[in-house]
Amino acid sequence: MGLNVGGSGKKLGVVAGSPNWITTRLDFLVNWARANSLWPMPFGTACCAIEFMATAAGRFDLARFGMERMSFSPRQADVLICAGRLPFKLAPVIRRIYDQMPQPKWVISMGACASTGGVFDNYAMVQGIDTIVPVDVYVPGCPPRPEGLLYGILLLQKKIRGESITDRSLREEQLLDQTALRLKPETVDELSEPFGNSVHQTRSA
Amino acid sequence: MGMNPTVQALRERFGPRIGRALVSCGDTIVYVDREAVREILRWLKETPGQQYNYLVDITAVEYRDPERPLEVVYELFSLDRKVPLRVKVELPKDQPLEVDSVVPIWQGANWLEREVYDMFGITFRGHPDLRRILMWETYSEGHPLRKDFPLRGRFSRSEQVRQALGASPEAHYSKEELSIADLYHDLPADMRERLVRQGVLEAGSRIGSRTVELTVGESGAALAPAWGGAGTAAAVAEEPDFGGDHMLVNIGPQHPATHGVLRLVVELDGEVVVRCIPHIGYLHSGFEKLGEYRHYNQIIPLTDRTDYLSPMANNVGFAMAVEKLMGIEITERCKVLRVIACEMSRIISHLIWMGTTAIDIGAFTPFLWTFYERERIYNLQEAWTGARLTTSLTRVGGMMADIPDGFVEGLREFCRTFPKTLAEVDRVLTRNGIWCARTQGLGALTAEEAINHSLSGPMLRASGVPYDVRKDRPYLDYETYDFEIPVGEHGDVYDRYLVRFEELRQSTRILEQALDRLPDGPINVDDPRVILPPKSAAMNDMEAMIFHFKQVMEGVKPPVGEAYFPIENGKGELGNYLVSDGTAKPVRWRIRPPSFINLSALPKMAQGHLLADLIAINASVDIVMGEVDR
Repeated sequence: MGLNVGGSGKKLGVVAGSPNWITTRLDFLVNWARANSLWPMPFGTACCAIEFMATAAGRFDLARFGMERMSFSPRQADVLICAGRLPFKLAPVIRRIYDQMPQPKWVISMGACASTGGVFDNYAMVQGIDTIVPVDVYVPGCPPRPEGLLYGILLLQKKIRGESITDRSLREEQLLDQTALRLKPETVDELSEPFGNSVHQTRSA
Repeated sequence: MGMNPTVQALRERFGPRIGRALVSCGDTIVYVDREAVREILRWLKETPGQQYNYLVDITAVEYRDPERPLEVVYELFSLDRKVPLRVKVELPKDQPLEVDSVVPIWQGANWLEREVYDMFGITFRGHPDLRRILMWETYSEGHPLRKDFPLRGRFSRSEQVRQALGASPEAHYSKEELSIADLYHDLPADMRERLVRQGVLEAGSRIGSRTVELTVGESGAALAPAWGGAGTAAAVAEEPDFGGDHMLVNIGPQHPATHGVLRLVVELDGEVVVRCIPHIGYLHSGFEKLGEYRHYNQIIPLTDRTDYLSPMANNVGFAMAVEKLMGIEITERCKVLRVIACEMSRIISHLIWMGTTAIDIGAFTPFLWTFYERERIYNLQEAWTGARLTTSLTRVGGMMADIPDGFVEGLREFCRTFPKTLAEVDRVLTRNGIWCARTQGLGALTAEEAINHSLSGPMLRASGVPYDVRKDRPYLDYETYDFEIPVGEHGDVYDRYLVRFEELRQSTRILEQALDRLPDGPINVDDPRVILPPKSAAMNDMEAMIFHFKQVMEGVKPPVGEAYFPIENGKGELGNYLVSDGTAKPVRWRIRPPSFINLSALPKMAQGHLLADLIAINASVDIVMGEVDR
């Protein structure tokens, strides 16, 4: 159900001189507003940040999706885009930034490293940011092309359109202690298991 | 190449304190006594006729043989005589891993020695500020590049996450920051309360018991006594009391103007930077450790991701280091294609610098122009390698692929039209009053200081030192191309801008010449040790199939030896130092990171400037954190 203008059944913004009231579902209106003005918090760390900048620049033009307002302060941001690898040294930083963002908030994990640790299956790298903060959309690629990131953003918008403000559990703040794990230790270990070819690369000679 | 005659001079001067000397892949290596290393290096730097005045790199090597001692490696270069020399010190494992610091000789050694300390646990006696640099201060798993340190660390992943989250920024607020705050007055109440809660402080205690001698000034003169220690009261009394403290401002690690996850702690007197302390390591990814677990050709995809602003040049640098190790001479066509790759990389690297620096100073439009030009290079790069950014272009002994149809025409078109965009940027920025006011006279370094800090690339040349690896240690036949090396005279932010701007023009010239001379022929050497046979041969010919199998399963195996190979990429001298023990995986893969070393001069450059200018100065360094932290 869309926005009905003046009860005429016509879509919003097309009729001049029509009565100045609309009927709609509250969920639709809220989600429509939220999905089309997502302010990203670009948590750009590595190579993916360069592709993120390319997405924001002229050729791919992120502004088409209501996202040109980069919010480098987490206080005014809606969606945290983790673009690039996340070493352990940076883990408390992303946790803090996520905690500082007000609800409603979403997270896009851009690229292989943010999603799984990527090629860096070693002592320095968090094996997927979902062990630190909850993630809504994973964008694969090393790095993802700007089109890939845009597709991820469109998926996030789709997800937002399906939300309901009556479902309070979606937007509940889970304020953890800064040092607490978000998941059970066994789950973190399991998520961080080596996979594919990397299991064979544990010997140095 | 024979033995460097310096070895003979050293033996005459120092006698038994000079150990064995050998030549590996054309590089002369001389072992010296660990107790005399500072004296010997000072002699090498200051003696007429030797003048090894440029410290290229300090690193360490641990061999797989557990009996073999660790080695500390000093890579030297004489800017006047254009001669390299590698000095090594052996540290047996049954004795304390200690050696004298060379920071009193070269300021540039400061961060390099801290990195060796962090990664290998080697103590440098007399270092002014020996702390961990890449890992956090409370990191408890050990020293990652030691051979007994497992690739994935000692703890389980959940324990690692828990410890990392526990090392919250306040909890390991560096001791020197705390001492700065404490020297003047008490900490802010909320910070004190938080530190007590986290167990860093005891309730009711003062903290700054440790006087930090962080060297910012010249020749090892510590700044701290100016305010700290016994002189505190006097120093405070001399200054007019405006009722305010020196203020500590934390910038980063997540900040749009730090060009990545760099954290700067700035001590401010009003708006003037008294002291700037960079904290790095927030993007430490363990490249060098990973390299020890991979075949040589498998490392090439990793090199894309170190300096991701100029991936193709990194590919070339690494492949050439392996080729030096194996004594492979690449084909003529491959040489020219690699020159093209390097210069394209230099262009996109400088373009992103120009765009983001303009944003930092308040001009948004050049960012859109430079990104437009970057997209055009990306198109060519993608046609050639299949990737916009992670190119993995080279292989040991050749290239991953030849250039596709239409590439030459596309690049010619780029060379023809690119100067127009440059001219537009030139018109908007170069004589712009705001631009000049925000860049001229800022962060100036003299030639002597720049050399002393081991700077390289545009940072060094802006200070008037005409050192460019392409001219001074030529590779890929760069000596046969006609191009100029732009050199600045003031060494400030504006000169660095001018130098990079001119390099963009010169790179375009080199590209045109390379396209003109591009010869036909194979791109790969005809050597079954390193290059895979064609697929048809591998399927039909038994011998070719065996070579194919051996290479895929066992990898390229260079002989025992070591090689250091520098190239000039956009940031400066990018060196790859490889040590081989004859197996398919390197014992040590060291990247000599130009922007890491350039960044280490930031405290020196920022001192006395305004906070707003710190942003411009930091931008002028042209850092890329993937390479700074590796």
